Amino acid sequence: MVASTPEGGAARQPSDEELILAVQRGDHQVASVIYERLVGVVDHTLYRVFGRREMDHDDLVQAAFEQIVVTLSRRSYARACSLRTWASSIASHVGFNALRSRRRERRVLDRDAGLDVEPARSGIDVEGEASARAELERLRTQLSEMKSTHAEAVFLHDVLGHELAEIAIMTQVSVSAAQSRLVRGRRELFRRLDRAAPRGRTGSES
Amino acid sequence: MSKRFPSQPDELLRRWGTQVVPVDTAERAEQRRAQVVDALSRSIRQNAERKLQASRVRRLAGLGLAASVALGLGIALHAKSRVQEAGQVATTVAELQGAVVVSESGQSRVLSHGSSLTLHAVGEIETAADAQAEIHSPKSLVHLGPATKLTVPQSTRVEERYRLALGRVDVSVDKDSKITRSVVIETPNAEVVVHGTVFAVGVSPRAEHTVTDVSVTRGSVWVLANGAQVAVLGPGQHWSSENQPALAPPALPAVAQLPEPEASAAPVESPPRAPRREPTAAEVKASALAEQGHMFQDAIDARNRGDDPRAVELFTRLVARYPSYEEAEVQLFRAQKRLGQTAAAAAVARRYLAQHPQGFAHEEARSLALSAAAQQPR
Repeated sequence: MVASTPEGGAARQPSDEELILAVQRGDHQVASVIYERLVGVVDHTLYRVFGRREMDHDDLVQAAFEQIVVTLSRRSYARACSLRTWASSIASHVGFNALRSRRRERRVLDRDAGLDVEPARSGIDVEGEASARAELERLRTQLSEMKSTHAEAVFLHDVLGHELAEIAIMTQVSVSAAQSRLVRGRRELFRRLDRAAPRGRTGSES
Repeated sequence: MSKRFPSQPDELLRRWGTQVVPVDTAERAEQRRAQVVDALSRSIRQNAERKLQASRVRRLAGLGLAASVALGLGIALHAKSRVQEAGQVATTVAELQGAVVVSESGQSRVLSHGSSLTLHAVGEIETAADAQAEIHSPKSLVHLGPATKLTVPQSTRVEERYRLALGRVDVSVDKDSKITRSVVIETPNAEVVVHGTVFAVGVSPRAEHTVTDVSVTRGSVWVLANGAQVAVLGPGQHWSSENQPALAPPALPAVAQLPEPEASAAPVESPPRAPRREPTAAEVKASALAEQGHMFQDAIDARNRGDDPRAVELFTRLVARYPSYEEAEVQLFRAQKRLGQTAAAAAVARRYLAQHPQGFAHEEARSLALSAAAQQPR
């Protein structure tokens, strides 16, 4: 699939369209090309959802790629956005599903033991970083307990920085529906964070 | 430095979005690449195969659906043809009163005491002077009056035809029947075509021809003569062939060979009338009697010579020409009996009994009919 120029110079990379057609006709030779093109966005999206690369990170990457292939084969991908954007949407969906199921499991079993926690960088306020991590963890927790469509809209817009129009295409809804999900999602998230904040410290200065 | 804790949600989300993603180690990245590319390759293949299978299943399902539709249509058509076939074979003759002779495939039977018979082929039905019968078909009910001769041909898909040679039939056609064929009553003078109604048709002999009368009780009927429509009758209306201009009558089928219940010299077929002078009734009668006597003498001569086959031939011709000739019928069944033609003799005997219940050879005919009936399965 990777073509060489007649002069033997730089190889031409297949377009998104060519990759999609190859997947649809079952050409498994394009697997490595798809991987190289999308692994960055899939890996980063999953990292952001969990805040770290967990033990099963590679499995989640694989699951996200398999889901991408399924949507391409079934022609669920409307081709209205780039393949990378589509991949980030799929990866965030896979990530949030995993996060939700993980939260449920944690009520029974503490999975935090043995986590691949990023090491604290030297020269940084360890306490401040720990509290910031705790805040982000609380944010993820609340988001994972919200309605999935609302949570994903907030994540795609406010965390990954996608435009509303892009989100609408990725989630296959109208722009107004995407906006409604975002607004409701934010409102619910803020309410949840407010409720979950430690009493006596909310709004106070330290 | 003052700091709000916890941070505002907006700020938290922004911080989350700008969180630095550390670069993975080369070894781990390569390990992941190997795992994912392999799984991805497998997934692409499996999805393509699944898609192909789904397409085959859809095609098979389409074929199955088409086959089911075809089968359903076939069953429906078969059921419809079964109904039509049932309509063809389920014509039943029932005796209501008196002696009714039913002839079918060369076999004649006398119906009495309310008995009935299902017709499978062309049937000829004759009622005695005091008898009545009914014919039931899926489409119509035909009531035969006394001294009536009716032929029931096998019904076709388009029509159910009755040939009335003499007498009267009252017909009731079920217009709600699923069988859509027409009911046609054919007489020597006309054809009465009907789809759903109640009407009566009568054929009565005149000196030299027959007259057809049609009266309608309900619905409407078409009256055709020689293929042309001559009348459309509604309820309470009546039509008679006697009032019609002279028309060449349609050729009579087998029913013309049936004997008549009443002694009459008038032939069933009307002779051609157009060019010649109308003979008087006396002239016609004299002519008929002369011919009748001549034919009878020839047949008796053959019998006296011991030439029974010839006698049978001549008597048969005589009876066909003059169906009410009692003596000829008796001589015919006697000659047939001598030749060992028991079944044919019994048929003639039954017909004789139907027409001449008090005939001079009544006992002889009855004995012959009963003995033949005992020999053959019903």
